[in-house]
Amino acid sequence: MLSAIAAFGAYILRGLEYFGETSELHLRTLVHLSRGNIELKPTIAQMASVGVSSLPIVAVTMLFSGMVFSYHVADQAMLLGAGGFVGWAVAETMARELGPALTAIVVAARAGSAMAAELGTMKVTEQIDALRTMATDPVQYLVVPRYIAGLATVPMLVLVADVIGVSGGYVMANATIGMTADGYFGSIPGNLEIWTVAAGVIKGIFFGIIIAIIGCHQGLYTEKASEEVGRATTRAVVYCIMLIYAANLALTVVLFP
Amino acid sequence: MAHDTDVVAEAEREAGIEVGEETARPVPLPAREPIDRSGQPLLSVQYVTRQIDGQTIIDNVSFNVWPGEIFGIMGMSGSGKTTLLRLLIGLDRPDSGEILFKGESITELSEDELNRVRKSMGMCFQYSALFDSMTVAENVGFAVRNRRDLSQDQRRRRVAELLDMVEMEGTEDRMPADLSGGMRKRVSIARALMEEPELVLYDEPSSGLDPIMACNISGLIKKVSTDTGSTAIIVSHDVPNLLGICDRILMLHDQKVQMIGTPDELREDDTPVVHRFVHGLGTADMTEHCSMR
Repeated sequence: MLSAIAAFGAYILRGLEYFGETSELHLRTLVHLSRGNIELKPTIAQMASVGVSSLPIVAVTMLFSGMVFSYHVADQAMLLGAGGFVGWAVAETMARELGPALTAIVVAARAGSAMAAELGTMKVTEQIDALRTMATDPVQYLVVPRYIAGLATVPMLVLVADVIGVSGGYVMANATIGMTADGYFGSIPGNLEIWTVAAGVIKGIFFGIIIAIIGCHQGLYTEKASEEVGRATTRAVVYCIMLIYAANLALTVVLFP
Repeated sequence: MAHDTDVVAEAEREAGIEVGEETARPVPLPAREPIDRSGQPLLSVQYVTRQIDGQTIIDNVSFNVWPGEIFGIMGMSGSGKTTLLRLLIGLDRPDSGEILFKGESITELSEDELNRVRKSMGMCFQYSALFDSMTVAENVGFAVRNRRDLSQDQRRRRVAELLDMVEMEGTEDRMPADLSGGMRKRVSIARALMEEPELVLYDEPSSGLDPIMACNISGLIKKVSTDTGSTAIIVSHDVPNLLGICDRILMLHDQKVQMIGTPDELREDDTPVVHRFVHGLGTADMTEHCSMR
């Protein structure tokens, strides 16, 4: 019994320690940002890596997700005599939930894991220590560019994801119930509010921050053993996905009261 | 001094290596001025102790290093050499004791203040620690990448000069992955010298290199230190090379300072642990075992 309590206590302590470490990393990142300590070259490289390179997989994911969702909705909507609202239903769902959440998960799997692996390898091979000996703060040189990249590109990817998801929905609605482009897209402008789209983009900003901080934290705190890089990478993806879902719930409640 | 003789030949002889004519010749070693130890030490380590996870890694270690000196730190694996080196550049902090650089205590400095001090230091890591996503030129020029008082052209010239100094000219556009271990060490030495440091720390510079290349790197360290007037602290358990290039050597044993002396003093010391280490002998049992083999 005592050992179970001790194990539970240790688990809680580790959780608090993790929260403290990530909060400190976030705070140090914000301090560098507020001082304008931004390295242009690595920031652009990270924006390309997180944003541009994630675009194909985000596009494929959202295309098929939009098609599947439309397949279910179109069928039910026709039964209920609401076939004219299929386009709006798909767009509303994409903008509110599927666009931001799926995009964030895809970026976490692709870019979050890459951040953890890259920084973890740098830690193991003493490249992070080398930065410090050259009077360069690793947070400024490595974390700030990834933070900016996550913050800036995930919301943009969310917008692109929304468009591709809705387009995929049209392809499926046209194929299954023969819906025309006018009928499908025409239902969107009058029903989909700008705020709904904006809220999805705001979610993307928070998700981008989560991915950058968790990915970088796992990399910077990797133990000095090569197998630890793999573990850190796995942990980065798992923690990102869990936190994205938790944050999604909180943001949904706040943004759509 | 005995160590100003042909260190390369000596190290090769001690390593039992026959060097043919086709072998690339090592760096010729320049003559060195005597070290003036009457003034303020460049680095002063005073009663430093470091514990990690309750285990003592460095125990009450004290020594001074004077400007221009080549100072070796040797000891068996796990004796705390690398930890000591990390303490000297502020990558780690001691639990007690003080480290003074040019008279200023660096043990309590913030990371920002340490960065100011680190601009006067350079460090070469055991496995070079080159940034593998950057070219050789970008690695060497990293420390001055944001300096506005240097033009792009001046930076490029300085990188070329340093690469020339370490005999790596023409490798500016190559990636670290394309270089051999010895070449990576040379690039890392050039990188450490970029900001013209007063003190350069070398962590196991001969680690992972064949004896000839290790000898060449040792010669290069001595040449660089003499040419630039910088002070060098070399952590290694490569005894022949340390004896060949260092002005003084500290031997760590059981986390404590066992002895500090010139190479000749170390060679002649009859303390069992020093004698065994300097002359490459194990314990009595192990020596017998090795000689039978």
